[in-house]
Amino acid sequence: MKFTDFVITETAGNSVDPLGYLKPSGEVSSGLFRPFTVLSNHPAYQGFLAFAVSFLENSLKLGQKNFPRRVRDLEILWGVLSVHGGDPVINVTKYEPLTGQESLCLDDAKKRPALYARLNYGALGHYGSPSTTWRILQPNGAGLSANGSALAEAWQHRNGFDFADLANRWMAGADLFAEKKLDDWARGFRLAAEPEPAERKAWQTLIRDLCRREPVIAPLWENAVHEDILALGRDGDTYPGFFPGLLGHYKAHPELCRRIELCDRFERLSGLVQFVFECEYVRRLDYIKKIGLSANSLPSQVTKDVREAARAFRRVQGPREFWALPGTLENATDYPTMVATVLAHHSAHQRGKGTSPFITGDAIAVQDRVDGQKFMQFFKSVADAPETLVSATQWRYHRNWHFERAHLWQQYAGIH
Amino acid sequence: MANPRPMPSGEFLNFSDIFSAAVALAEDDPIEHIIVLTFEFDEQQLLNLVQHRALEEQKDLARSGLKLLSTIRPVVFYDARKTKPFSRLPQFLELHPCKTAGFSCHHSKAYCIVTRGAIRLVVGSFNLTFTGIFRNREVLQEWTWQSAESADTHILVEWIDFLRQHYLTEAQASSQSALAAALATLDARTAVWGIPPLRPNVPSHLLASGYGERSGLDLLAVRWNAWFPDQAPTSLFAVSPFFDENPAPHCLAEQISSRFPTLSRLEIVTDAANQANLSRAHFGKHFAPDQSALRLIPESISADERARIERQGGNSIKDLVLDRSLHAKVLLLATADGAGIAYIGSANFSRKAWLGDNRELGFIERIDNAPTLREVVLRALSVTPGNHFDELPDLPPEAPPKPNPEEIVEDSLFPGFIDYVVLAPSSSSDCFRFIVHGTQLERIVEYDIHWADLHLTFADGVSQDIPIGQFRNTLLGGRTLEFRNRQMADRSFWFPFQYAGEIIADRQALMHSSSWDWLAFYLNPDGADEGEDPESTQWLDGRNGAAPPAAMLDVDREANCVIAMQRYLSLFSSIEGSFERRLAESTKVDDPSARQRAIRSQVIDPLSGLATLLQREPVQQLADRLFKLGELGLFVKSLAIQTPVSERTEFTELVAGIRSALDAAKGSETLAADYHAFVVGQLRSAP
Repeated sequence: MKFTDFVITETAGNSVDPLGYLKPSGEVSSGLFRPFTVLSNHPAYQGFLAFAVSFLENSLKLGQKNFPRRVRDLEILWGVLSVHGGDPVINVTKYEPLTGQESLCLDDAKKRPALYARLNYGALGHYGSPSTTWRILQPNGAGLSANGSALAEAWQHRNGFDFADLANRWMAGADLFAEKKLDDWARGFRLAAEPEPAERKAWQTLIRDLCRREPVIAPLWENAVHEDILALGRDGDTYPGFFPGLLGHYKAHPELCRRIELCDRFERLSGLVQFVFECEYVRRLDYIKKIGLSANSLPSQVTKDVREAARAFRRVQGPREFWALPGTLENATDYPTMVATVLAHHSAHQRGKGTSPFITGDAIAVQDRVDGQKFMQFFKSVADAPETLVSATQWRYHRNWHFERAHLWQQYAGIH
Repeated sequence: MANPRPMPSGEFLNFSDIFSAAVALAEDDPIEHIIVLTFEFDEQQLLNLVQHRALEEQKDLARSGLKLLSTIRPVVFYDARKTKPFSRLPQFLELHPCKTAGFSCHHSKAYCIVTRGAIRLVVGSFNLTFTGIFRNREVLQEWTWQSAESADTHILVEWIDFLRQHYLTEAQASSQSALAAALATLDARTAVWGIPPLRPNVPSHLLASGYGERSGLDLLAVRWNAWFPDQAPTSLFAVSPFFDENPAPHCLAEQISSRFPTLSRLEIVTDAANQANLSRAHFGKHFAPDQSALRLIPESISADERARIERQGGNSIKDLVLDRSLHAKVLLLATADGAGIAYIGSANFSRKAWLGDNRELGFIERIDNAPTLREVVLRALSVTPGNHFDELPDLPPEAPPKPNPEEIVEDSLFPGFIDYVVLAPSSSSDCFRFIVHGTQLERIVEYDIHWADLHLTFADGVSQDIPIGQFRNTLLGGRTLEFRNRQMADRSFWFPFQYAGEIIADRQALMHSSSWDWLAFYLNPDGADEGEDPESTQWLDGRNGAAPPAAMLDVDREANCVIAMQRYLSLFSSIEGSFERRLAESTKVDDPSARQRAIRSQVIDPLSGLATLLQREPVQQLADRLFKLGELGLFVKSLAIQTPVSERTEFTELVAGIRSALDAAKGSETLAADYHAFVVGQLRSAP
C-alpha cells in the first residue's frame, strides 16, 4: 500500500502556449540573461555537471545512450551527500529514503527505478543547455570547454577532498555510508556549501567571458541592480516601479535600456492579449453564457490599451521583426476587430502546430484550458476599475526576467 | 496457510515515477503494450502516456509520437459517459468507452505496462488525470514481474484472467484489438517464465465488483472465510471521499455488518469538506454512537506536509497554493487482535461500489497488525486527531452540499442505443465508412453526426463512403464522432470509434501521406519536433548531427522524374542502413516470441507500410512505381538473408506482396520489363 504525494510540476497553468509566446518571449528574454532558464536554481549544479562530464569523458562518449544514466549514477551520490548535509536538491525526496539506510552502494540505487525515472529532471536536463550558453560545455555535445574543465576541476576539490576519489569508489560499488569522513564530504560538497576561491575564480572567468562575448549585457553583471530595485519586482503593488527602476539604474547604456524596455513592453502586450483571449474563452463557457459578462467600459479600454501596447512594442523591437502579433494589433480600431485578430492569431498558431484551436466560432473546442471561476474574480476587479487594466494584467501574467537569479550567481562567484 | 505480507510503510509513490522509470529503461527494455482502466482521463496525461513522456508535460502530440502509435497501440477502457471531444487525441489510440447499467459507471483504475523484459501493474484509486496523478491524496499498489521468482506472481495470473474475462469482449469490435495482442504477449511471457497456476491460500488477491454475479462485498466475505475460518472481525476502518447520497434504509455500513455481525466499531476517514455530506445514517443502526468515529483531513494543508512537499520541490514553491483532495479508498476489516484484510482500490464507501453495478477493481491482502496499518494510513493522509461523529446530523441534507463529480447523471438525449461504432473499409476503392452497432438504429436520424468537418449521413447504420484522404486529415483531432441532437442543437455527445482489422493492418500506410513522408519519418524517427523542448537532452545524445528533421525535408514532387528518382534512391539508401540496424537490434532479443514481435514491429510492418504506400500513391509514370518497389523488394531480400534462418519466414508474406505489386506495375516498356524480370528473378531466389 503506497500513497501519492503532491508533485510540484513545472507546468504551472493550464495553457499550452496557445498564443505562441514561447519563441518571442525567448527572444526578448535572451537579450538580457541568456544563460538562465526558469529551471536554473543554483550555480553549484553547473559545477557538478561539469565534473560529471569530465569524470565520465574517459569512460563514455557523450552521445552514448547510457550517458544520462551514468550522470544520474553520480548525481545520486552527490544528491545523497547534499541531503545528508541538510540541503534540498532536485529529486531530494527520492534521495531521502536512502539516507536512512545502514549502507548504500550504487547497486542498491540501481535497484530503485524511481531514482532513474525522468532522467531529464535533474542536473543534466535542467543545466545541460544553459551550460552550453555559459560555454562550460561545447555545443553539439563535443565535451567540456577549457573554462568548463577549469570549473570541473575547481568544483571537484573542496576542503582538501577530491570528489573524483569518492566517485571512483562509488562507481566501483563501495558502500558510501562506510565512508569514515562522510560528514566532511557532505559539508564540503552539499549544494549550499561555500565555493572555494578556485571555483569562484572559475565563475568570475565564465562571467567575464560572457560579458566579453556580449558587451551589451556586461553592465548587468558589472553593475548589478540593487536590492531595493529587486524588491519592487516581488509584489503586485510595487511592480509598476520595477522596470522604471531598472531603466534608471542602467540609463547610461541605451541599448541595454532598449532591451529592458522591450521586456516591459512584451510583458504588457502579452498580458493584455492573454487577458483578451481568456476572456473570450470564458465567455463561451456554458455557465458564463447564462449569466453573461458585465464589462462596463472594459472593451473600449482594453482595445485602446492593446493598440497602444502593440505600438509601444514595435517602437522598441529593433530592426528585425520577430513577433508578428503586434503589427496586426496596432491599428485595431474596435473591440470586435481586436478580438477577431487575437482569435485568428490563436487559430493560426495552433493549426501551425498541428493541433486544435481552443476556440472555434462561438464554441469551445478544447475543454478545461482556462479556470473560469478564477478568471472571473480577476475580470470583475478590472471591470470595476478599467484604469488598472494594464498594470493588473502585467502583474497577473508577469514573467521571470532572471534578475534575482543573476544576483545569486554573483554572490556565488564572489563578485559582490 | 500463507503468511501476511510485510507491513506497509506508508511510503509515497506516484504513478508518474513508476511510468518514468519504465520510460527511462525503454532503450534497453522497450515498451510493448500499455493497458489502462480508468473512470476518466485528461487528454494531456493520456498523450504523455502514449508518447512515453513525463506525465506532467504540457506538450501536444509530436510528429514522432503520432507515428509511434502505429507501432505501440495503447488500449484505454473508460466510462462511456466521460467521452469528450478529445480533439487532441490521435488515431490508432484504442479507446473503449464502457457502457454500464443506468446510474452506474466504469470506475476501475489499473495501469499495465508490458515491456520486453518486465510486466508492471498498478492498481489504485487514481484516474489518468492531472489531479489524480499529481495532486490528490490517492492510494495504490504496484507490482513488477520479471520472472517466476518475482513476488506475487499469482496477482499477474489473476490480472490476465480478469482482462480476458471482462475486457476482451469489450474490445471485440476491433477485430485486431491491441488488447488481444497484449494478452497473447502476457500468456507467452508467463508460459516462458513457468508461472504456476493459481494456488489456494495465497495472501492477496485482486477483488472486483460489478463484473459478475457476485458483488465485491460478497467476495470480500468469501475471502475472509477462507483466510480466517475461525475468527470474526470486530472493527471496520474506511477511507473514502464519496458516500451514498441517500444512505437509508440499508446503508453500506449495515450491509457490511449484516455479513459480519460481530463488528463493534466503525471508523470513517474523509475530507473535512465532505463532512456536510455525511450523517449518522451513513454509519447505520448496527453501530452505537460510542462505536462510531469520524476522522477528518483538514482543508488547509499542515505545516509538516507543506514542508515535505517544499523539500521535494527544492524549496521553490513559496507562492504555490497546495490544494489536495482525498480520493483514496481504503478498507480495513480486523479482529480484536489485529488480524484481518486490507483493501485498496477504486471502491468508495457506497452501496453502488460494493453491491451495485459499478465496475470496481481493488486489491486485498491479509494483514496481522491492523492498528499499526491504521496509524500508517492516518499519518500518510494527514488526518488530524479528534472524533467528529457527534457533530453529524441524523440524516443527510436533501441535496449534498458538495457534489460528487463521479456521480453519473442520466441524460435522456444521450444516444444510448449505440453500442459501438466501427470504421471499416468500403467496397469502393480507397474509401472507408462508419458502421454503427446497437439497437434502435432508426434513432440515428435524431442526430446530426460529424467526423471533424465532415457531415456523415447514415442508412441502416452505415455511413456514406469517405475518401481515404479524410482519414489523413484527421490523424489528429478526429478520434471521435460528434452526435448533435437535432432538437437541441447545443447538446452534443461524442463517441470514439473502433477500427476494423483491415485498417489496423494498414495503419503504417495510413499514418504517412506518401512514400516521401515515410522516408522522411524513418530517416529520423526520434528527432522530429524536439527542437523547442528546452529540457531535451537530445543534443547530448549525439543525435543532433544526424539527418535533418523530417519536417525540414524538402521534397519537390514536380521535379524532373530522373532527378526525383535519384533523390528518392539517395534517401532510400540512407534508410537501408537504419533498417539493417533495426534488424540487428531485433535479432539480439533473447526471448523467441519477443524477437519475432521486434522483427515484425521494427522491420516488417514499416516496410509493408512503404510497399502499400508505393502501390497507392499516384505516379507520373508507372515505371516510377516499378523502380521504387523493385528497390524495396531487393532490400527486403537482403534483409531476409541477414536474418537467422529460424526468423526468415517473417519476410515471406512481405516478399510475396511486393512480387505481386511488381507484376501490377510492370507496364509495357522494354526497360521496365527487363528491370521487372531482373527483380522478380532475384526475389524468386529469396531465402
